[in-house]
Amino acid sequence: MKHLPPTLREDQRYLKFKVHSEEEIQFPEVVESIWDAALGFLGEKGLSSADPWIMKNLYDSSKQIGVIKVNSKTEDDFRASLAFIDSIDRYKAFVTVEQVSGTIKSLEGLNN
Amino acid sequence: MQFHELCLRNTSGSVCPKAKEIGWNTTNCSLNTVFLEADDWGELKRKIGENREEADMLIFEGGDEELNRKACETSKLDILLHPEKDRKDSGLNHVMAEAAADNNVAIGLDFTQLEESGKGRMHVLAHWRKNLKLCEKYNAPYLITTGAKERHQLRGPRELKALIDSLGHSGRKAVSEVPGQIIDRAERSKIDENVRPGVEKK
Repeated sequence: MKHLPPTLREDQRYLKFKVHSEEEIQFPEVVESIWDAALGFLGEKGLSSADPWIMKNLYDSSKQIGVIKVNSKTEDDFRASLAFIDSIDRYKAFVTVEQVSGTIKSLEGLNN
Repeated sequence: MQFHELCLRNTSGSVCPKAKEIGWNTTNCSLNTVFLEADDWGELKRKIGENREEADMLIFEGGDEELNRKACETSKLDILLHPEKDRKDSGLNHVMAEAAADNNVAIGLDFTQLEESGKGRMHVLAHWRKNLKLCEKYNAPYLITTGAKERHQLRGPRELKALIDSLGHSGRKAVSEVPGQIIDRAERSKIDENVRPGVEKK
């Protein structure tokens, strides 16, 4: 399929997040809890406009840092939903956003 | 922007350093904060009298309709925390909001109220919406706080700001401006030149 021209593409925001917990947490559990929290807070309709994508190749399980792509218009709503994460995979944990950017390239401290 | 967290319930141990690490500029660890709980107005009045002199900040944990109103009408209190706690309504009306604006009592939104997910959380958020609307209309100060007792209950300042923004009100006021004013007030009242605590010389 042909790519959309840049002018027709939706603007994205890339959120670099950090998981704060006592134990090291693996990617699948992080994904599950982020989806749970976002679905709970925004609902199916809200989440469809946020259109999030959690990037597997950018998750660093030793530093507990990862990247989520969301639609720029719903950045605030999505960010608020991250505040509702209180535990991940039976460990007490919370998630903070460290940096927000329009491109992955300008996010700092990633492995790529 | 400077972020201030004023209602940490545990100001010892690892909570304070962690709060600094995730982006709060000031926390109430450096301030003498007193949380008040009371069943009736007599008890609350006595507790205010006992604590006002030493405390930098007095926070009343609301929930009772009559006491919410009394708290809004007392200029000696700094924050009325969670007026909607254990209630079926939002715990605040136009009379209280107006009084809170006159007496500079900030309405505190406590994030720990949102712990229960689903229906309970929905009701608290609905109450927050109503309270924020009243506060905006009557110009009453409002702030949001994590109210953390333990480390894992902390949240980032910008996440809390985003929550207020997504409810349609000013998150900037809630995490930065109003708490900043309260800290300023607390510091000003400590100056030795004052006639007595909180009363400035002309």
